[in-house]
Formats: sequence, C-alpha cells, structure tokens
Amino acid sequence: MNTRPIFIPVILGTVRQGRTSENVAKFVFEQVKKRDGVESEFIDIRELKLPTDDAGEQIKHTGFSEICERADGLVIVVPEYNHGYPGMLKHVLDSNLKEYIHKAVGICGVSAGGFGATRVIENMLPVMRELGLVTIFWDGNFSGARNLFDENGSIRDEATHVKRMDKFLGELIWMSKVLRYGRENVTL
Amino acid sequence: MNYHADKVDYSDSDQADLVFGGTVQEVHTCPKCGRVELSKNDGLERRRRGIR
Repeated sequence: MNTRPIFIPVILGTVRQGRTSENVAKFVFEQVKKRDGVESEFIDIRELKLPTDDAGEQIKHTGFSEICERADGLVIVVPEYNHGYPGMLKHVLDSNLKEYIHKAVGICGVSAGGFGATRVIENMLPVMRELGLVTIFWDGNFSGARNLFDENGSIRDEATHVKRMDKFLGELIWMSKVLRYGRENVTL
Repeated sequence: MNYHADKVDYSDSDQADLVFGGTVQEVHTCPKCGRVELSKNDGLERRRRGIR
C-alpha cells in the first residue's frame, strides 16, 4: 500500500469582497494541517483569475489542475448565496475533470442565517457526483457567519467547531485513503 | 497504470458511442505517483481481458 501522505487541499469557494467564508476556510485549513499523515494547501479561487469568456477544461489553470491531480480528497468551503453556490466556484470546478475522479470531497457550508448552509451543501451534491467526486456524509456547518469570528479572525466557539471538524475530517481522511487504494489497486 | 473508471465525454460528438451518447474515456491512475491519464480506447481494457 502506498505510504505517501494523504493530500487534502482546502478550496475557498468565493471571490466576493468582504467574504466571511475566508475565516472559515482558514480555520478548516488549520484543522486539516493538524492531522497526522495529511498534507494540505490553501486554494483561493479569487487568486486563480480564470477567464470568464470561456468555460470548462478549455480554461484549465495549470497550478490548480496539478493540485487537484495530486489530491486524494478535497475540502470545499462554500458560502450560501440565495440558497445556492457561487457561480465562480462552479466555473472553477468545471475547469477540471479527470483530476477529480474517484476522490473524496467534504463540504463546509457557510451561511449568514441559522441553518448551517445546509441548502447549499445539498445543492452541491449532484455537481460533485457528476465531477466524479465521492461525497462524505459529514459536513461542516457554519451558521451566523458574521459573528463566528472575533476581530482578530479567531473563531469564537472553538470547542464546538473543533469537535465537529474532528468528525468531518476523520470521515474525509478515511474515505480519501480508501479511494486512493481503490484508484491505485482495484481494477474496473 | 490502474484502470478504475469510465467517464463519458460529450464534447466529441463525431466519435460518440451510440449507446452512451458520447465518447467513453477510460480513467487510469499510476499506483506509484497518483498521476491520472485518460484513454479514448473505448473498451480496450475490457476486450483485452475478455469481458463483454
């Protein structure tokens, strides 16, 4: 069995100015990095600056594609905008395909209201499936986004969110390991 | 390379498989480094192994 570290990048899925999801993504990224045997990288889709006069694999970003190909799993931090996901996140995700197939994905939703972005998480699931990603059954739910962090960017109710992330990451890492074994050893 | 998935590519309508409506791409992953490659050789692996 392959012993190289599991690689799980964290994608910040919005380009909006003043985005509250940025603090969430940084918090999640720190939690991922704390796990033994796991490497991560922070991807801000705003920094990719993909063109918007075309779409799909025609606008592949080399660096992003290489990260996705190397990845064993992904964490997507997605804000809920009008009950849906940001169009720019879909635009970025659509720029790859083979890089995602049979890899694990966990979704962390961020909402201004009190439902933990469950609506956008549910909306993401069919997209993940068509991209070839395998979703886990734990989510990251971050409600009340404007008050989640203090002025220094520190999460206020750390114990609660660390405990939730522990379950989420446990499942995601397990699924990432299993799928990597399958991709590399189990023939269709 | 380990062959572990098939994915339909709808972008190449000239070569489309009538059953699936697109080109079936085989997905292969390198067991050593994780590199991924697609192959348009629809069914090649299956034929090689005698699977219909």
